[in-house]
Amino acid sequence: MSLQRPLEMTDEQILEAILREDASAQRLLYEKFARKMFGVCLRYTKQREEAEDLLQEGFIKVFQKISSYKAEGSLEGWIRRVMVNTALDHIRQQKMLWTDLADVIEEGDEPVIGHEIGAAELMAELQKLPIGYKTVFNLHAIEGYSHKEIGVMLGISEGTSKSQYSRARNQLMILVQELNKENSYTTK
Amino acid sequence: MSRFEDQFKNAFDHFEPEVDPKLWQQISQQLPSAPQNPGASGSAGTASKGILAQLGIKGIAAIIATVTLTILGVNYFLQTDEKATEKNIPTTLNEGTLSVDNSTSLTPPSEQEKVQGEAVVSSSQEMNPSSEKTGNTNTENKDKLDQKITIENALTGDLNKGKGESNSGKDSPTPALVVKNTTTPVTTSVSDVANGETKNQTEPVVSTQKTVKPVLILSTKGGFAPLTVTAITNQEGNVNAVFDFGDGKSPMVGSTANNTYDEPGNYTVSCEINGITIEQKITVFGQVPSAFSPNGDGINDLLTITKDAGITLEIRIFNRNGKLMFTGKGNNIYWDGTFEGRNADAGTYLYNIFATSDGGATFKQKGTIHLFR
Repeated sequence: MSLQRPLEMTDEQILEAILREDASAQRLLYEKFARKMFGVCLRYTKQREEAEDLLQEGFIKVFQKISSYKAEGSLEGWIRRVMVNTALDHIRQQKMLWTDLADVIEEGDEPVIGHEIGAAELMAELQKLPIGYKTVFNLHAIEGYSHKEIGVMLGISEGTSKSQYSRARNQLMILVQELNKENSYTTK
Repeated sequence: MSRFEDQFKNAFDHFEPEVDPKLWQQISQQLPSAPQNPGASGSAGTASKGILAQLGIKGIAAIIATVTLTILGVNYFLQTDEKATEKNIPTTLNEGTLSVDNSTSLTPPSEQEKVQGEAVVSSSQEMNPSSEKTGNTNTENKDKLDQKITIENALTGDLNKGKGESNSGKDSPTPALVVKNTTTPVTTSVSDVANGETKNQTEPVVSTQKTVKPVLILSTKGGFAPLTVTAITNQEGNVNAVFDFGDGKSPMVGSTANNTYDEPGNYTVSCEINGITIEQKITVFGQVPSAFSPNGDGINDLLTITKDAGITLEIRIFNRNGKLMFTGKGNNIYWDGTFEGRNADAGTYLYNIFATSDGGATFKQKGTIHLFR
């Protein structure tokens, strides 16, 4: 049933109710943001199950820490940061070896993603990337952090972040070209 | 930021995939202040009233929405229940649960979904005797499992859940079934709510079912062996369609069926629903090798893919970093395991095959090839 959002409360109203310890308000907050945040979690993981674990852990943190939320930025932005930090905690636990790679020299034009390719398909392509590439691409291209900030977040140098990013971008371009080609086949 | 990244960012900005409803239950169990039993009507009711007092009109809208959801749930349940009766399932338990649902009109949706899930599982189990008659136990068990998953998906409206199926879901007909199943109860319930009647709800559903023209949908039209094909019908509920995959295996009964073709050939899939038989053709090609060893020992030195003259193949092979290692086109393709004049490393490679038959049918296949040295 796709009657997910019958409750149009403002963020302030939901927050107020949660701080009053109104138990149903927690659910309202969850219903309002769960899908969007699931999209965030999927980007940092390889599989759906992994993303579900992240979403679960992230929302528990949200409810634990919600009293510390200062209405400085949007509530959605704050929840998103909690989710991203939860994802980064998991990634850091994997004790990855970050290697400095030479930047990829880009050849040819940037592919234009075909209009028939939806977010779910792009997600599947993004999820295929190695975890280092994927994390840096997410943080820089989608979340909008600078390479310097990413370096601090992941404990790597700015240069490593840049080279991982250029690799990620290059590989995504190949994957998108492949996807465009497949689609032209299917729709033929 | 350049255009390529922006395309990703824009696509993801509004991406809100379905979330499995069970996640909230798991989260709420770990919250100190959450009610222990989220299904208890008392606490939910009180909480909603609290919000109502705070919010006025918006709150009322919220309550109405919740009640609608509940009625919807009951409606769906009634529908399932009636079908269960038709199949001679003991309904005492179901009716008992139903009356509880009616009295607690503010039960959260998750609880509703759980109840519906149980009802459907029990009715799909009812189909066991009929399908067991056909023998072929392993396939049948798998088939039953798939049915359950599909039906549960339909209930939760979760389009992305298709476990074990192709991950893009682009070629899979399952979403079509899901949409179909969720749409009908929604439309009927809207009119029912308008009439303020709950008793007559099942009638329009039944009549809709009888008028739907049966359609057989296959997950693919062709491909390389072993090729697994899912067949579904557009019929709702516990339709006992008889599927025959035309490869000599016993027919299967249900609303959906799976079959794996191991041998190449042209097959006709037939499906009989309510005395009407529908047929679809499927073409299975020989297997793509899973490994080769270009070490000059004369055994499997070349990766060879040969197909009938009527098929044009195009293959692209990538290494794990996504680098294109080899492309080939035609109906007789081989790769000697070299890249730019040097031996490619041993390991796993990914391939994409695009095939076009002279008849114009196209299909594609992805897979892995192991290169040994």
